[in-house]
Amino acid sequence: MNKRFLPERHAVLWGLFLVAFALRGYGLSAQPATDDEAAAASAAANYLESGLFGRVMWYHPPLRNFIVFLSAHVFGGYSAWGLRFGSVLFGSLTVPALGYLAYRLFRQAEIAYLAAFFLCIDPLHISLSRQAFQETTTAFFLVAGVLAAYHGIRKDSIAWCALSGALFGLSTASKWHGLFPWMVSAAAYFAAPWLIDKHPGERRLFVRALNMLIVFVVVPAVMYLAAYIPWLARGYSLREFLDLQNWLVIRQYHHKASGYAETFLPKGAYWWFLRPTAWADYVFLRGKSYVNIAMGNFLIWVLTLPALALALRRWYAERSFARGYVIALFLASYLPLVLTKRGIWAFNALSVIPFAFLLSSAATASLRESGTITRRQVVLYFAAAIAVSALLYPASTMQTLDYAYLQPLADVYSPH
Amino acid sequence: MRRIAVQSVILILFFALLLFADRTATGIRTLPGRTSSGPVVIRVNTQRELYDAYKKENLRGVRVIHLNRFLNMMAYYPPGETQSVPFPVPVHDIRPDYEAGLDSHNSLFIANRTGLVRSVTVVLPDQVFDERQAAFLNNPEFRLRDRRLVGYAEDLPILVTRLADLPAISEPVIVNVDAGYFMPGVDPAGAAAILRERCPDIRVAVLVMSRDENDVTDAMRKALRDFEAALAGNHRAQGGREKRKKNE
Repeated sequence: MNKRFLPERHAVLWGLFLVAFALRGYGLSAQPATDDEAAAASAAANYLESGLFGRVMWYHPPLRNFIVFLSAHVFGGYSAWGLRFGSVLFGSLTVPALGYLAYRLFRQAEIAYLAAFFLCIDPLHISLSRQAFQETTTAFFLVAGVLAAYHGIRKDSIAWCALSGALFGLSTASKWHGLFPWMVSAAAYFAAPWLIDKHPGERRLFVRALNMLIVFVVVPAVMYLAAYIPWLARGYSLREFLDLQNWLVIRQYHHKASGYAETFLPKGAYWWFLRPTAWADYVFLRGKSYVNIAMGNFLIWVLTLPALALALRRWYAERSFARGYVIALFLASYLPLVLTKRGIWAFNALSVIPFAFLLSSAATASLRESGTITRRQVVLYFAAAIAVSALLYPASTMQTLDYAYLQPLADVYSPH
Repeated sequence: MRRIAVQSVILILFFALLLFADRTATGIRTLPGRTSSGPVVIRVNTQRELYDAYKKENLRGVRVIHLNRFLNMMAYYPPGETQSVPFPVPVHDIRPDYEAGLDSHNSLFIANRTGLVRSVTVVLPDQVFDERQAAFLNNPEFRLRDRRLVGYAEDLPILVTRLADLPAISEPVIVNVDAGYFMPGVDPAGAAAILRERCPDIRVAVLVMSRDENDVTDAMRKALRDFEAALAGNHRAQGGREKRKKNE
């Protein structure tokens, strides 16, 4: 067991950040804007100027508009980098953040590296980090929120928990997927004195509840509300704000995507860890067709459910708070998507795979430690996973049609 | 104990912040001031001109009570906003593009997109409400609550009701009355009385002759003029009652 995270280990995680950034930023300007991204640029500018929700995914909370707007101002306009820098940056930052979280939970550098590595090379995550959407932002803030929450819970630090609340507020202000780890973390914070041996936390229920109310309700609510300031500035009251949120819940429940997404793309979250799944985009610009196929690395994703079973078994045996927390985070993030009746497409997986990768990396390390699998097998598996990601990289960067070996994939996912 | 005190202060500050946010947001609404002579009355020929009237009055974030047999909220989106283009993606204030697509069928939708209107209460003639209720409820965007249809067009809150079920609205409002509302059997004087009772603070009344609607008859337009007279009469009567109350 490693108690301290040594400097070279920081170097590994930040090295993975650089690799992640390179994979997510390479050739970004050559990748054309999708219709939705063009609309995201207009939505960002108009939301900040006049509080008008844009045409694209207006029913999601509006933090994306701030990020795209700020990014465009940093880069002097809605160039490829101006439009997408927020996604590239937050997507890349999620890699070391997940590594730090894994280390904080399991105190093993190997698990930290594995989790960060899995995310770093995941083609679905790479692909969505290269588009001006809220998926990678949501995932970053929720991973960072869990990291701060776990630290705060362990140390019983209000400041860390308040930071966590702020990060969960930002995650949820990007997309409601942030709600699930937020709720799990709030519950974990509340129950920590009774779940963790020798926990220094306050055990009086009223005081504990008051603490939780401040850090896990008030702080996130302020962050969430702040994202709606331009909309409120159109004259809406807080009552109307709450009515809108209520309406958005109903609308989300009945959501229908485009006919293409509803008909051709896989839309069940229950398939994610059982068979390869993908999200696809199509662009026709200046006489050229581009197809983007954002597919998870199935060699890595397929580990999830066996890893969950192993984690449950180990948790049952040892009742470790950290393992239980990860299991709860995974189940709370994944099961609502599995159980809902509406279509759930692969891009939603970005809020689930960080926890899936925590489980898989912990399981891999555990099996290697117990001698069930050898280091050589792990290296071979890594090589295979890297090969899969490398082969899928052109598909995740809108170059599917430029590579003949990807044509069968294009035929399946993008029959335009 | 000290921690509880600090947290209580944080909670109080949080509620103060909510109150401040609410007051600031609602304070942004812009309508003409209340006058003793009653609402500003504007007559226009079409629903399209209604939008121009709103702009002239510098409205912002207002609630509209809309009496017509149509919602006048047909969705309109400027073309080109969601099309892939080479980098850098050009952006501009989209509101003039919405105004460019203005017509009599979408005037309220456009007024919402450009920020003039934030909420619409549609009063349909009873017969039209009854006919269309099922169609509304087939749409997941609408639900029936207290005999009224509550729904949204994107983020625009809409309440659809019969006049008899119009809730009391204390905030200042803009009222549109279309001649088409006065279908046979609709009593203009009665409508004016109910409207004045439920909406005591009407700042602007826009009377729409709907001259571009073939099925709006001269009799309906006459009923609209009767409504205007009744509304003015009601206001005088109400003014008198308020004066008497003050004297008492």
